Amino acid sequence: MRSPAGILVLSVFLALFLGWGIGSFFTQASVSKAIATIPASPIVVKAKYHKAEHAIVYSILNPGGMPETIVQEAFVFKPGKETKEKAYVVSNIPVHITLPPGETTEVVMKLKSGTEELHLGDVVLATFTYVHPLSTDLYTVVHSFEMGMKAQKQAAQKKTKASQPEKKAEKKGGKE
Amino acid sequence: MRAEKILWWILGLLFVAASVLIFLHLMVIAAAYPEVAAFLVGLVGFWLFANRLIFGYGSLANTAAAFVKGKELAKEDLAAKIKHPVSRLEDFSVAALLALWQNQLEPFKYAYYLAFFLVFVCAMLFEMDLLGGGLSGIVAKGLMMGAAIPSLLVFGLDLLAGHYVAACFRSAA
Repeated sequence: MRSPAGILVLSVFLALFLGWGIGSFFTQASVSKAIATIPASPIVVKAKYHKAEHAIVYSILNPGGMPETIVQEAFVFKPGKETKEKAYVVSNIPVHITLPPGETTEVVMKLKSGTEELHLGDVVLATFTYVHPLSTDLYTVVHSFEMGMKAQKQAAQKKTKASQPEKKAEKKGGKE
Repeated sequence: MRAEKILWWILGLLFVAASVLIFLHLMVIAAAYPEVAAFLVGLVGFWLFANRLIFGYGSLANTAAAFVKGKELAKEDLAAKIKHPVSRLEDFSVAALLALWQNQLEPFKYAYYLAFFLVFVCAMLFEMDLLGGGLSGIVAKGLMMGAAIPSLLVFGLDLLAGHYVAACFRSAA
């Protein structure tokens, strides 16, 4: 038979867990409310070239709690050694892509039609311009994609070039 | 008995004050902090249903503990508390009267646990995104968290009362 002391210990144990649950519930509710009002800078987590569509597919993560909208894309093509295509710039492609909070969205950027497909060493420097609901400012994310570079290799390169971030995170305030 | 009565009055007054405050401010709270409003509604609402059990098991445990320690109990008082429609209750032994008292609370306990279980399952379903998440999930979870507090009290006092009633039978035998 259980003794009163045992019942007390059991109840206190359960009460501690209950208090823990209630405390973390209120904390979670207030923290998620706070995070939902913070717009974060989107991150390009993956870029892949689709030969058939002659397009680059970017996986863009929105780590914040607010939806963001990409309003404009632009890209600069720099040829590598193996390609005969000349360098070209395509700017101000108006788009309307919403990045939902906390999710990774795929954004397709078609390269200039009629140009050669990408070869090893070609570099495409993409600029995404986005807005968020808190202000009317335009922000940009610049991502450089090099054909044939493995993701790991790119990551290693980024570590060595830590002083000049190439993959992402160029946040500019003010109108452009 | 005196301390129990004072406690009863304190909790009763707190309950009335909290109810008045909540009904006056619930709209304001619910707009800004829906999880707090749901928690308060769950706490006060379930306390309302648990009150009979909390004080029933509390005073049963007290009375049985006093009897185990050798205090003489007036059978008439016990019979008045049980309110059982059986004639000649005075012929029962004190332990049997206490068991009858405990039995009297049993249906209320199961109805209460059923209600809490339904709220708990509802909150779990929301948590697993089966009924849709977002605000309704937070409200369901807050309601469950508020309801869990009186449920824990009922659980502990029920165990305690059961222990002391069993001890009464052992000491009587």
